[in-house]
Amino acid sequence: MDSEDDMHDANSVDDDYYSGDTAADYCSDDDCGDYEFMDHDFEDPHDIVAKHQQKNYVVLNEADIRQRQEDDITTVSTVLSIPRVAASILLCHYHWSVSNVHEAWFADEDRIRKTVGLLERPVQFSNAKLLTCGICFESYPLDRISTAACGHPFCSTCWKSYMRTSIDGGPGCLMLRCPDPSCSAAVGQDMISRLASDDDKGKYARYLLRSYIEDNRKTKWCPAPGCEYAVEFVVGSGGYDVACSCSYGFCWNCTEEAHRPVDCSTVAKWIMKNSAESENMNWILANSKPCPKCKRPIEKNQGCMHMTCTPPCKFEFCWLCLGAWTDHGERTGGFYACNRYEAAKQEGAYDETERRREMAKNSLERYTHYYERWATNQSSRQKALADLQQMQNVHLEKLSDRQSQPESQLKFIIEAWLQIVECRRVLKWTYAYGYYLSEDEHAKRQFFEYLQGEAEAGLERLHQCAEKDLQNYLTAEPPPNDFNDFRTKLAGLTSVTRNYFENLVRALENGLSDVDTRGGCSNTAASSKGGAGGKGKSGRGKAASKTGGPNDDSQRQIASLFLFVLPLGWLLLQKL
Amino acid sequence: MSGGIARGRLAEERKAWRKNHPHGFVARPETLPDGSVNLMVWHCTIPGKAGVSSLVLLLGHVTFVILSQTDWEGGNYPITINFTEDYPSKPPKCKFPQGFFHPNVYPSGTVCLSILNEDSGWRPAITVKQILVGIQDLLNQPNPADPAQTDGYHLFIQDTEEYNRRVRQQAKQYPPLV
Repeated sequence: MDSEDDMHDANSVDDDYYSGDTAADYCSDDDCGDYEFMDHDFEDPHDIVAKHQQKNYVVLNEADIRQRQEDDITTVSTVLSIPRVAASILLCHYHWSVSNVHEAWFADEDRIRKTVGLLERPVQFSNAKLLTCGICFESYPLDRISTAACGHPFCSTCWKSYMRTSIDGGPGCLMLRCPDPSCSAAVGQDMISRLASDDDKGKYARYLLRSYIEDNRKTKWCPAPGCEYAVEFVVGSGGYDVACSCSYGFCWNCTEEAHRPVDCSTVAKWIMKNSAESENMNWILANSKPCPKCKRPIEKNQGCMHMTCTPPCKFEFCWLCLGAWTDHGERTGGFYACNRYEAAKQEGAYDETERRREMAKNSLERYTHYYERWATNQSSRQKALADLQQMQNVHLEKLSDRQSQPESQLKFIIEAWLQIVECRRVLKWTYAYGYYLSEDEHAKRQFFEYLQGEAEAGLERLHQCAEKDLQNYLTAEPPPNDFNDFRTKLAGLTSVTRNYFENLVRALENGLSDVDTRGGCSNTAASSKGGAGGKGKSGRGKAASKTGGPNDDSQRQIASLFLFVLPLGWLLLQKL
Repeated sequence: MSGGIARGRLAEERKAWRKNHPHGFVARPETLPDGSVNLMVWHCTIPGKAGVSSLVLLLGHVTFVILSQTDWEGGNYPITINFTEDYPSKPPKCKFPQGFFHPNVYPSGTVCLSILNEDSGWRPAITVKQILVGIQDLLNQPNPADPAQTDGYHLFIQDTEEYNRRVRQQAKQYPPLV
């Protein structure tokens, strides 16, 4: 297989893995960096969505944000014929929505002026020589006195400390009003610039910039620590996954880490569950009993039923019936049994608590199962990210020397690692999905577990190859000369794994509905054939044969179904 | 720090008060045992509103005007105002005696009023006179949206008769000084 077939443009990889958009696959020879060539004649809905997803957000740096803010202020200022400061105050009140400002202003200008505090006719000063500051009550010559549009006089010192108090209090300072208790005149950035300390001016400007992102419905800061980019999102345009220029991928809707194919509410539930104290409580409930005297939870990990609570309580009791040990002994069955308990149990006295304890224990075990796998993939992904960095910064150069290959020819290794990182992310979230997948939906669960299992196995092979096999070529002396075979193998595994995960993601995103509608499944496969037919490239067959089929008899039925799904993803990939 | 304008401002407040203040109110800075004046703490007295007060309720398009004898009348309620060096950037703290009966007074005696709240209504140009008059208004017109004590709040909401009895009883507790 021609290795170059599999090369992504490194920039495109972050964008979107599973929408069938592996555009760079198609054109590694020239540098067609955009996606314009995407075939319009192809009718698979996934691709149409994918095309939208390419354009539904923009990453903004600080200069972009400033520019946009300035532009919006200019627009409002021009359209309403008001000063820029007034326009800025208005926009701030209307969460930086230019259209809302326009609408409100033209509907009822007077009312808006009143609520926002923009007085139409500035009050004229009296022409007294001295004015009394309304805060410190000292008299000052006019040049030491400033006023907002309302004309209430305050001295520069009092203005400065008034502004400091407000700015220290947070972004509320953007709505600053005259210090007079009965006055609502707005105090804008022009007065801040004139009267506040340099430090405060800086903070104010910062708040103004932040407000443009935080109060705006269409923009959010990238949640990655230390990242200063913001993302503008076209609301209502489908997928929420966003890749910031800092390389962090997050969900625009819930700002958690990107979690496709699992939906936001499942992620929220899962994260809540992971952090909630409730799990601790469940554990305590399942594995301990309260000391009958001091009520501290006690875990019994070995030994007989004669319990002695730790000091200062020191109460001696029977683990089974929780009665005082003084009532026990040979006559109640000795140290390892309790007749009173057995008798009471016969009467049903312990059923309720026992059942609760048993259920909690089961549910805890189930949760632990999924959580462990979720967490393992999380840490595995972190490790893979670090390995990827190491590969890019150190190993690639070394390998290039040893194998006398230009680094551009080694891109397939980076490809593989990016695929691993992404797959770990998806796999991680499928465990949250699995936890919430109802136990009753037997067929779905089986199908899900099958897809997940295949994807996971594929990923393990890929990860193994990228991690272990590669070591040989980095360290062995003399360097093995079958590097081209390695290239073929790794690139093949990468594309096969991508394929598996595409299937997994797609199946989860449509709620595993293929299980119910087998006919629909083969239909899709057939219809996609038409679009893909002419463009398929040969050379992938080798990789496909490596994946092998399911060999478990009990899974054969699902496997045959899966064999319809697999070619679909396969063909999609090929036509690109 | 801006050199701490608190004392200068309070001296001016004191001057303005001596020149003119609303009838029945007392406001004077604390005198220390050595005879010196501490401008940062003021001992004041607020008279309960005299005459008839009107409580206006707006419900939909219907306006109810409830006329009642003010039950606070006859009381002269002592209140202490504590200023900080941040005054007038930050509001002072106003305290009635501990356990003062009113829905918007904390058990400690601290008054809960929007204009005295740094984060909402306080503006540095609010004067001592405005604070005291504002609290006098609050006595007659509690704000049920912002309860500060259970006793006063529950009675105010559930048992007007008992509430008024308690208010009149408290008024007798603080008779006019003269």
